[in-house]
Amino acid sequence: MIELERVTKLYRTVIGVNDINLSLTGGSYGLVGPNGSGKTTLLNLITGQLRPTIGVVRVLGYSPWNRDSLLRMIGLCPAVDVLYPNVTALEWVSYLVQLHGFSRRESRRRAAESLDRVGMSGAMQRTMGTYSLGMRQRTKLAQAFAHDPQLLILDEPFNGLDPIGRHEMTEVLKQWVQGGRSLILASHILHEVEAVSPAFLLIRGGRLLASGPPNEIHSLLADVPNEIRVRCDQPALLARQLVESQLAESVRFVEPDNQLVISTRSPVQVFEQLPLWLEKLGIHIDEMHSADDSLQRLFTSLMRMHRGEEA
Amino acid sequence: MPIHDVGYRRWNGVTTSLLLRWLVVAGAGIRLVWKSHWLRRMLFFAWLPAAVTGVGFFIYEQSLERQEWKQAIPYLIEWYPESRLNARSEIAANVKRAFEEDGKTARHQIWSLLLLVFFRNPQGLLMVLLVGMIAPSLISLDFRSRAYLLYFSRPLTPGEYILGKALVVWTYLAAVTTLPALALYVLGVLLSPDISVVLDTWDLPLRILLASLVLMLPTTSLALFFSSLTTESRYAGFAWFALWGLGWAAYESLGNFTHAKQWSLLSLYHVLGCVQEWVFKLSTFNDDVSSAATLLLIVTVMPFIVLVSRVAAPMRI
Amino acid sequence: MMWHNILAVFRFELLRTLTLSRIGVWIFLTAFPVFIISIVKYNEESFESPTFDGSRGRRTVQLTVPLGNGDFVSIDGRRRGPNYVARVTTVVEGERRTVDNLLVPGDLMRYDNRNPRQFMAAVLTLISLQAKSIRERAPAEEMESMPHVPDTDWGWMLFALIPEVITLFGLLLWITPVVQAELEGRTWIYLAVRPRGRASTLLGKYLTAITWTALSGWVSVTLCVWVAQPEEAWRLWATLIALVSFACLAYGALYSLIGVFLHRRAMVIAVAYTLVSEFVVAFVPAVINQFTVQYRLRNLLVDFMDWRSYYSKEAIGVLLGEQPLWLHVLVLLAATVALLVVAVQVIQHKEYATADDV
Repeated sequence: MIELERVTKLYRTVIGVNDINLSLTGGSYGLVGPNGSGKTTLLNLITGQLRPTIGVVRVLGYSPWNRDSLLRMIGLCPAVDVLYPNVTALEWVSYLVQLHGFSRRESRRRAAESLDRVGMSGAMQRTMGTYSLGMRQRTKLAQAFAHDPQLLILDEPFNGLDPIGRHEMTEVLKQWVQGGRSLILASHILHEVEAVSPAFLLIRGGRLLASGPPNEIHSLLADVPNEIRVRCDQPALLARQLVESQLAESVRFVEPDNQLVISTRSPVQVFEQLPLWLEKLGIHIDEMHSADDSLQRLFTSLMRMHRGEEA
Repeated sequence: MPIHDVGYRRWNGVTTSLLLRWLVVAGAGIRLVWKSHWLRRMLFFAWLPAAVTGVGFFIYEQSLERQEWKQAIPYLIEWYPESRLNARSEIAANVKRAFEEDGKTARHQIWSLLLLVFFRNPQGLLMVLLVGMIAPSLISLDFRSRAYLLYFSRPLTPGEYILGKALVVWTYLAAVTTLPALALYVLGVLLSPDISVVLDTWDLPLRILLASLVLMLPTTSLALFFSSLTTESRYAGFAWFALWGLGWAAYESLGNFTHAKQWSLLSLYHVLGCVQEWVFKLSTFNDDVSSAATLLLIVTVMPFIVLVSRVAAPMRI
Repeated sequence: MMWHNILAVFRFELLRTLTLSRIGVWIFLTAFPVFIISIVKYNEESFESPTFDGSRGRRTVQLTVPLGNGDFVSIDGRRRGPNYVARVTTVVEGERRTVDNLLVPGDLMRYDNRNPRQFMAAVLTLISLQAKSIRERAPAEEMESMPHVPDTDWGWMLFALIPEVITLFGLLLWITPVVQAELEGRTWIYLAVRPRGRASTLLGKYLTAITWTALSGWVSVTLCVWVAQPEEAWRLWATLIALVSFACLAYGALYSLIGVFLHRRAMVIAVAYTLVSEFVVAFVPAVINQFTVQYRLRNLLVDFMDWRSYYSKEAIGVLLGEQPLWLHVLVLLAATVALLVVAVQVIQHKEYATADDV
């Protein structure tokens, strides 16, 4: 479906993507990478908005640049916010559907249907200037699939959505994939992508570091323990509790601000137990970080592998 | 029991003076605008008219020594554009008469006229294009991206913010008008046969600064006012160009057919010219100048009041 | 499908113009020339400078200034803006001379010029300066009525205000930011990923811009002609309607090309280009002025209104050409098509990087 051969994109001296080789058949893929890693550039290359400086991009066997036949089959939800303050969602989405060649009536029907699917039926007649971020995000999603594309490309689709909204969107996308169509979902949050896509593409610094199904990613993660940083008033006491519970692989003290760095392969259990320990031991926590650091460490580990510093 | 207890962290190091915070806004704007290639090209070409006008100084000074150069002076005087009906004939005739009576005594007038020509003709147009390039997005972009939230969540007042933005415009306006005009004066001195010309013309640099002020204040006030009215810079740009273009068209149409001087007040370009003539001592402070000066004052103050109100408004929730 | 897309863009963009502020701009641009014309018309008769004989200036003047010894100068003319076009008869030392179509400056007719001899000298100077453009009459022809001199003032003023100024500003607002507006609003990507999205965006917006602007121009022309009540009002109205239409097509295409090619500074560049090309180069008496839209439009004005015989050969050589009317129309239409074709090619093949890409 999508092939990239030695694709590099340069913006003068800035590298967008660097020597990417990729071959995707139909299905669902998650494009995961931190901010500034080249996800948007890669998507723009696939949708024919940019031409590669080096290399070849092919979608369904053709270069996507100026290829109307391919654009008919693609639905894109970009990361940028939409700003038409005096236009209603229905007007805007039906306008974009019309640009795919549908009649006005049919466009309006499709627009209303897709807006309904994303939960915007009540607000679709209001102007978009009155929308919250989440409502604008849903509208953007609606315009991406209103014309019934074969390939849906979503760039940070869950931005601005509350947990319920995320859940609903995830269900919509799952149905989409189950309908036999293809999906590329770009995000910097691993678990968002995991719920929808059975395969990952990990990108950082413009380079494609790894690709594969979740279990393979998790096995990589298995070698990279989760790190939780806690700043509390009694770090030694908390550390002892962790060691006794055998949930932590290692515990490290960071001076001078009473920080404890916990390395664990069972973060979920740690989080479950933590409130109980805090209450029992009378420990007061000032600050706690976790989660994305493990993605950071995953990428760091992958980069080391690519540089030959790790096996 | 809160998990996060993040209080305001006070900076214990050295801070800059409160009075200079607006310079940060200005500096960021100047650096951002400087990135434009078109702007740099415009700044380069802005100095070329100064070189051409410098030839005028040379011709005049040489005409005092050589008779045969005297015949070029009337053509030089005709460079002056019309700022109001029949002004060309009045000012040009006065300067011509002064030159015919005593060429040396006319030095101040001729130098003033040449400097005024420089301000009015090439730099006048450049000013409109330059401000039209820089100013429309200065405030509108901050409104669109809600960057004003970032500005005003810091210890920065709306006045300081506006001053910083205004300095961006003033900097580049000075680069195309004031600095070339001062350089032109210096060039005129250097192209003169004798350094004593400075004694006759020492006040001209001050008049250049004053003329620049007359130019900069109302134009900046208007440009920022337009920028503050919208989140889309193209509308601010359009309003700016329409102000100058339609004003000129109105004056040309009405002035040519009615011969009435008051129509020059419709054209900001001609209003500026009227006051700048007085600044360069080429006309006296008559009714026309006072009307023009009053209009400039209104055009500076009223937009500024609206501008302050617009900039302060988003925080007044 | 292309037409369908273009119409879709046209409808959507037209809908977006229906906001209070944009309608306000439309009304302002439409009313601006009407305001100017109204003032000129209102003051047409009332504030003329006094003529030589002390009377206030009127649209026509008959004046005889005796110098003694049978010498005199007689002026029989119609006002043209600040000047007069007159049949002038001079008798100097018994020698009689009558000329038509002498352009007498309004200033010469001012009350300040009290000296008859100076007045005569000035008139004789005018005759010698304008010798090529005036027609001498034999004494026998003097009794014939003065040839009709068309009233071109209103026509030129309306031409300058509407097809030139208003049309340009209307198009400057709507068509020059064709790409930049979408990039700034971060909506470009939504259009660019549609089949033929780029080209249909350009052409749809072009259609919107010329519709908006032409409508403003047509209404303005109608109101201005109604206020001015010029000679051949209907003919002038139809001429200006046609000129507004041609101006919208040609300038719209020109600004479209600037808007897609130099999208970051499109408006500033369009203003600079217009000032240089349409207001300087268009008046250069050389082949180069034939490459400007204004040259073609003013030729169409003169031809549609049949004013060509009124102008001297020098004027025709400098400001007007000698090409046939159909050629001007053809050039304007061909230029429109060519510029649009190039603009479409540019927008199809140019990469427009958004902030997210870099």
